[in-house]
Amino acid sequence: MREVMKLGLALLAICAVAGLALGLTYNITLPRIKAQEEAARQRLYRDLLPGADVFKEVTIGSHKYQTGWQHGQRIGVIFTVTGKGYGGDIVIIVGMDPAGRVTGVSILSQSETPGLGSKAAQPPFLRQYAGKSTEELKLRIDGGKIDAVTAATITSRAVTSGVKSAVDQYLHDSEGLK
Amino acid sequence: MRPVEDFSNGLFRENPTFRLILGMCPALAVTTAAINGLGMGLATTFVLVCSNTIISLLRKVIPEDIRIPAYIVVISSFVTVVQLVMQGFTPELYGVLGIFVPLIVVNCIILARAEAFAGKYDVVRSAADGLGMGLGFTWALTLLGAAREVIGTGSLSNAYQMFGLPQFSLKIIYGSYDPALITILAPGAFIMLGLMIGLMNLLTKHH
Repeated sequence: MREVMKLGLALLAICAVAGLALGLTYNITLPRIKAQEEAARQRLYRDLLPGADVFKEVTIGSHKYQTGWQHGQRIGVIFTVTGKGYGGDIVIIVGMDPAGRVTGVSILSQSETPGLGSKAAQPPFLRQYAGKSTEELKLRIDGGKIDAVTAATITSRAVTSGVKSAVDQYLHDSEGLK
Repeated sequence: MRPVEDFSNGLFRENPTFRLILGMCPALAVTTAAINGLGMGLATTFVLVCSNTIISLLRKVIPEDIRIPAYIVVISSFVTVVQLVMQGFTPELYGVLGIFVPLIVVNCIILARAEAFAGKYDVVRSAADGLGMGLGFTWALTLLGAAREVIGTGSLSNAYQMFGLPQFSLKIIYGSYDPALITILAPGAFIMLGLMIGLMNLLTKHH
């Protein structure tokens, strides 16, 4: 019995020291981590809506959008959608100007085949979306203006229809604004 | 020169990946590209050196009967500290390695070295052992990742991009190259690892 107590107390002491060290590290790093995450989010928004200097969350229709402002003028919105890819969900974030023309697309998370589908999450493919409007947002083989990534048609189609659904959602929600 | 021997031990003679066959989970899962293997290897090396040092220092304090839970507490605390510090102070590095860092906790090389080495020997030798084992793991994973990436995609794009080197591609060298995609998919990980262990056995046969 005494042996068990001794071992228990020794383990308690080790865990207490480890817990204390972890708590301290957490508290020291928390504000820095929060600041870094916020900065990363701002950078991402800026890439998607070039020119915007302030971002505000606004409800348009029934959905929440990030709106980008420049000199007090709303120059666009950012909306996040989820598409069904080949290897699971693809989280896509889309920047649009007030008329619903795409200004930039970025992929937040995806689990597509490395080397094939994953190429559809990279700038050379995503750059194609800039300036496109809803009728052009289809793969070329489906009658649109987006070139699919070779050997990754399913992923390319998922991203493209995701972007299109974001644009259509915004056009639908912004009806009430006009 | 005991610490020097302890250091070189992990590099070749008892290489964790090719000799001890430990830490197979990260070795198979993250080596789809050379840069991933390098990142995972270096992060593991850091934790391995720290945990070996602390456990060696505490080896007379930790009671024999509860050494395994004590080691696990030390290792997982270190991994969490590394993760928080990286996230807060080097976000670029965290962006590349972030998903691999929590995986280090379950890497059995670290617990194996704590149990087989750091719990028995002094601090200098334990740190040398940790560094050797870690770097042995690093070169093995980088080589495996590079082989899988080159054969599977025909290039080493991510690694070259990161170090700002001109693009390397089999297509440019040979005119045309049809990538054998299987090597970057899951079954290819087993096949390439098996081939490399075989090659390593062949090379060290006469020693």
